[in-house]
Amino acid sequence: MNVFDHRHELMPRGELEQLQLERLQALLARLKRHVRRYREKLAGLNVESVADLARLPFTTPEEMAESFPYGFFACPMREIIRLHTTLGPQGKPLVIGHTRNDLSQWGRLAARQLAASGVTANDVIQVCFGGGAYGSAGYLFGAQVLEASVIAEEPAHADYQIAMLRNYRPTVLITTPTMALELAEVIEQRRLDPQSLQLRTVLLSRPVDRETRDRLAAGLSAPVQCNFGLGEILDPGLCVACPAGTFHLHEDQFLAEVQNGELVLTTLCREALPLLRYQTRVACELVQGKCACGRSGVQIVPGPRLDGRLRVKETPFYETQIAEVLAHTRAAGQPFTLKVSERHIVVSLELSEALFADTVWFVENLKRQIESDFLARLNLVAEVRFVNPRSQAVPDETGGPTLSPPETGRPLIQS
Amino acid sequence: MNAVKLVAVFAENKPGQTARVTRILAHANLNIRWVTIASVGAFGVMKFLVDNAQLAYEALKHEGYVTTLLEVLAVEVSDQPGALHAVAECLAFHQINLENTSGFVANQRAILVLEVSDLARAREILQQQNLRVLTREEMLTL
Repeated sequence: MNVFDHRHELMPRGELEQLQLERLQALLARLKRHVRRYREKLAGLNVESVADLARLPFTTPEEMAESFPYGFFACPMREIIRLHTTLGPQGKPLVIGHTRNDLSQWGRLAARQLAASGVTANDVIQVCFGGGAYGSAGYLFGAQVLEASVIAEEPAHADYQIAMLRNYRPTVLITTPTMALELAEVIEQRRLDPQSLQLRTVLLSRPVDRETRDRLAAGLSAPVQCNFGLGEILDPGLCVACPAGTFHLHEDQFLAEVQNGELVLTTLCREALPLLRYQTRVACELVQGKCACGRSGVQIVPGPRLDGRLRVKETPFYETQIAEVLAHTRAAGQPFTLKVSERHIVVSLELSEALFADTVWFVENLKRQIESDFLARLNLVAEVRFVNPRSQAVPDETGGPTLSPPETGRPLIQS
Repeated sequence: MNAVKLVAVFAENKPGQTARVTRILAHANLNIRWVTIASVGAFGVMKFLVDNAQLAYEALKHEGYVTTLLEVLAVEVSDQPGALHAVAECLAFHQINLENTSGFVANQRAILVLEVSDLARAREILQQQNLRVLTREEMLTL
């Protein structure tokens, strides 16, 4: 077992609980003093033990979105030196601030993961997240803490990445599942020997199923581990994924609960954006016990999202965002159905008579315009299909001249 | 003058779609004089010249089809080499885009069906070139 921070990662239970209590009490004091929203909610509340956490109020993603951008910050802007953005409820952005201490702490927490994956100062790391994906920052901090060499380039194509892997000879690859799968595919297509790449370990930015993990391990000829994190809390740096594939929570930094099947997290040390009992909208199970890797303590078994968040490749999104994109197009307000596949979305849009009359020559152009809007606004590859309206026209029973021509028709249709 | 009208129908690209549309037209006792079907992957647009465009429009709409009426130019050209070229050249000279064009020969008469964005101007220009722009009645009685 490779451990970066022996004191905190292997702390005896009693000592850990004392530390958690002290940090929780300090957290409450900070929240009451510095965050107006918490001051009202926490008036008169105190904790005598970690178990008292259950009496404290929750924080929801919706509250965070309402207080956008800085409403939950517990520090003056002068002390905040980094702002990151993450996807909030229904696609609204959430701003995550960090003080200098937060960033160095983030580095140490990410270093715990890297160390657990066997990374040392002798390693060369390629961190490769592709455009649009969140979260490479934490790995860079962690690598810096361990003094490993980081390749500060992002190849634009799998071919260049292979060239880079051959020339720079990185021993560690930190990447997204999408990019790892692409890489393994190209390696196979080009009939290259993955063993010649000298990768010792591959770390993925999010959990994948067992089958994908095995496929990648074979395709890249290296053990594959997955990270689990949350943009609002920390990603990476929430937990350590051990070689057995278990997620071990950093219990000196975070308190985890499960409420109605949902993971609820409290940040104990964060300065800029401390969160109390934050409802993560992720299904979860917590397991206590000793893991095959030797670690004991709380293990996180994450499940699916509970708030309808969807994902294509590495791009998370909500169905409401699809309607927002359409609202900017000529198909605004048209009913649609959404199908999400592994690599793209299919938006089946009902074509109204007015829209058809308006675009009869350009239906194909309209399709392309909307598709390019999805790419530009949400970074989603979309296929737009026009379909007949589900609610079909009601026949005119009186037989009267109720038929009205489309109001906005481009062609002249008055006879 | 009465411009030539097509009835345009949106249809999902599924087996039997054309048959369903043509059945509706047949039941309405409409005679199809000319047809074009353009498919764009998952969907397509069918355009018909029928003897009564308004009736076709109503019949299709009644059955729930997304339908519209569309005015086009029908131009009679001489049935000889260079005839289409002359029309295209003339429209190009006046910066008019052809959206869709098709042509056929019936009873020794060569007819071009032009879909253009600025119908009135295109008609004027073609008539200045002494090209015969057909009326709806002429087109239906070829």
